Amino acid sequence: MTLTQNRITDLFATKSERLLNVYFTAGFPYLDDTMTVLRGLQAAGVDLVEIGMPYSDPVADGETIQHSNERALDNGMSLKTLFSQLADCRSATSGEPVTVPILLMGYINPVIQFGIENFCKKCQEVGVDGVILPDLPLDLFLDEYAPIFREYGILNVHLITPQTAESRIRLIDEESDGFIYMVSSASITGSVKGVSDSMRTYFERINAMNLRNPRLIGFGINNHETFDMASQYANGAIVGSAFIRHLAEKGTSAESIRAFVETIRA
Amino acid sequence: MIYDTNLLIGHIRERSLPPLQTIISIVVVGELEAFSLKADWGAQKIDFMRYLIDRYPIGDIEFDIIPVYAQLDAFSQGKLKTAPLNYSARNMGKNDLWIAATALYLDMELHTTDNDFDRTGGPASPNVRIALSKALIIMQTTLEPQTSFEVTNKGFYGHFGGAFIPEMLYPNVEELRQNYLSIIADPAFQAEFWQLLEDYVGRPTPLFLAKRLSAKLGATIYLKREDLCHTGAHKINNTIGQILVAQRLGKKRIVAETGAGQHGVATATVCALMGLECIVYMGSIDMERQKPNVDRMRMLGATVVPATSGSQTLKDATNEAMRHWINNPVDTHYIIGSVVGPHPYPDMVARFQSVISGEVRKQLFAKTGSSNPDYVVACVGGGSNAAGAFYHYLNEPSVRLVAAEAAGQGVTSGHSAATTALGKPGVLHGSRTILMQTEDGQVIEPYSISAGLDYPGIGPLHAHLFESGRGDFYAITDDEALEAGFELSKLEGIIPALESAHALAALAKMNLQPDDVVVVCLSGRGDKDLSTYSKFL
Repeated sequence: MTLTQNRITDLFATKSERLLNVYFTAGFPYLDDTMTVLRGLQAAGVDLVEIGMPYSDPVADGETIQHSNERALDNGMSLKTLFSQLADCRSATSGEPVTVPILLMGYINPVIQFGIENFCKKCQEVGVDGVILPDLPLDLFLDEYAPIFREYGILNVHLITPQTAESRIRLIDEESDGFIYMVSSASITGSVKGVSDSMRTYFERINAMNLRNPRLIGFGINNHETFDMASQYANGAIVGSAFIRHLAEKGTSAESIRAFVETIRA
Repeated sequence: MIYDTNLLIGHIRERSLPPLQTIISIVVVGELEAFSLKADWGAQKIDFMRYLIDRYPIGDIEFDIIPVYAQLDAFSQGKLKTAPLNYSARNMGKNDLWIAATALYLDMELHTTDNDFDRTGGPASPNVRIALSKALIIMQTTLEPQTSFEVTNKGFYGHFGGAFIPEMLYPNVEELRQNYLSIIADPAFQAEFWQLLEDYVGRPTPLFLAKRLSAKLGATIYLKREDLCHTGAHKINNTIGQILVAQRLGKKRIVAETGAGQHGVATATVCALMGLECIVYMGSIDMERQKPNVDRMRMLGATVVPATSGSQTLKDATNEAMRHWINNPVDTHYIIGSVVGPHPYPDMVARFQSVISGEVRKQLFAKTGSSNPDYVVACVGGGSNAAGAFYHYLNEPSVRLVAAEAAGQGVTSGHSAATTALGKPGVLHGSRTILMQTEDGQVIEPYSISAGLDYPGIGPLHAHLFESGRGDFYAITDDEALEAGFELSKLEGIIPALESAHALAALAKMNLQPDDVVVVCLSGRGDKDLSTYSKFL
């Protein structure tokens, strides 16, 4: 499928190197920080923003992101609240309009309770371009949800890992739009340090497949070196846990966020 | 199916093979060898006969077949008091009775052209086949495809089940899904599994008629004594099966989650038995509450890792075990302890636990002349002992399936684990099921006095039993369970696990009638709960 108008596909049509996607948890460190961090990231010049929808049991995430999820839930964050925070972000009525492509990342159960169609509709209304739902399996998505996502113009970004079989990567490439999320190693978020030879072999193997979708590498990207390395093998990278740690330690000011992004991009 | 001698002789004459799923009774082997001598068969025919015999599993005469044989023999002569023969008795070939008993014992259809078997009976044809036809009716109902309660290819029971897993887990789960059925069906696996259940676990466990409890409740109550299994609960039926699967998948390390520690101990036990590395995740709060089980696991050589995230109990231990598996996808097998998790776990665990109802059927038949009770009662946390106790009765509508959930301090108290009363459909730990959750879809931390029932969801099979009305679900409070635990101890000399005490407490709510026959799965022994019980002495 091809979507006619979407900020993510538009982005990749104009830029294909060293794209930086930064993840943060909605409602972290404080409930009203969502827009502050989003605007801070845009001002710092990141290419995409991934907003975490907090969940009580995030099995694909490590300690850092799980703690930020718990904190956000304690702050009272919910999908309903998140959509109301994002409601005017694309319009100029409340300050600088947000133009950076936005993805929502989270787990399927809160989305099911919100209602899949209602969720897609809200995403479209507030200007969310895509979602990442790690525990929504590909076949179920294709069987049950794909037509609804398409109707509202919402991309669903799929993950591949070093263990994903080539035939399955081909299938995911066929069924993806926007980009493919390459998990750097067999791991949860925030748990790897550095880049091993086996990772390079994996990255080269995927490169050689000539997939039709661009790729961003995530998991374990936490500084300039790892971002550089990922950008050699893919169209860019995703930073999550390192940014959450930065927010917790250095705060959510525009300067703090700019400083973080600069150390990654250097 | 079991093929009788005359049918196999036909196949040997035609040099054709019976269907793949055929089992040959050892008695039939004897009859074939004898027939080949008497008929003076040539070498080629004898070679083919032996080739055919070698190709199929042999149904041996096991000790457990004896009561079945005895019942059939007595019945065929009209001398079985519990099931009188309406027609005139006759003597039937003893070999035929052994073959029929083997079929009955194995829950298999008997295929034969023998007239002794074949006349289905009527006033004019007084025939042992009446007994067999009765038995066959029982058997055939279990042999019918389980259309509504069997898991689909994609892992669904009705609306529930599936495999909601991140891509990082996909290869592991897919490897298991593609292989588990063929591994389990392999005769060498079956032989090892059954041998271990018998010699190591101590199966079959008794089916005990609880006379004083029966008198008090005004119905016939049988207890399926899973508490007598090695390690003190049914959990080991599953860990034995899964460790054999893990070995055949070439895995070197086992990871597991545990709440009260029973599954952790059962896992550490089989890892010690097989010499595999064992890592058990346990909520750090549970580790304090269940110190003896932590020590047992460590003594068995397992590494017990505290789950410090979230609420630091079972659901967090499960999250941590899944994360460990994500981080170690190639050499590690995750032994899930209940009928929860992504497909194929709920089905695989139910198959391993189905030994419970498989034994109940035979034992009840030997004791009452019928394999079917009126009720089967079991407690449900995730629901593995219930799945095992229900398994062979799923398609027997005359048998009511009763699940006892933990109401904790009361369903509406805010401290409960009564999932079907409080939950809604959603996704938990890899499957679509019923779970306790907030309006926003966040998982609610459950509460029960019994650590084994302290889980916010139930297995997808149970969600389907609940939604379809096939099962009756009762919510049992802490107090009701304690009372039932003390009652059983005093009436029958059996101290039940607090989990099992929930099943016992359901009996009083079931409006039992004097002629009702009830089987209660006594899933575990109460030693581990003494510190809780002792507060109420």
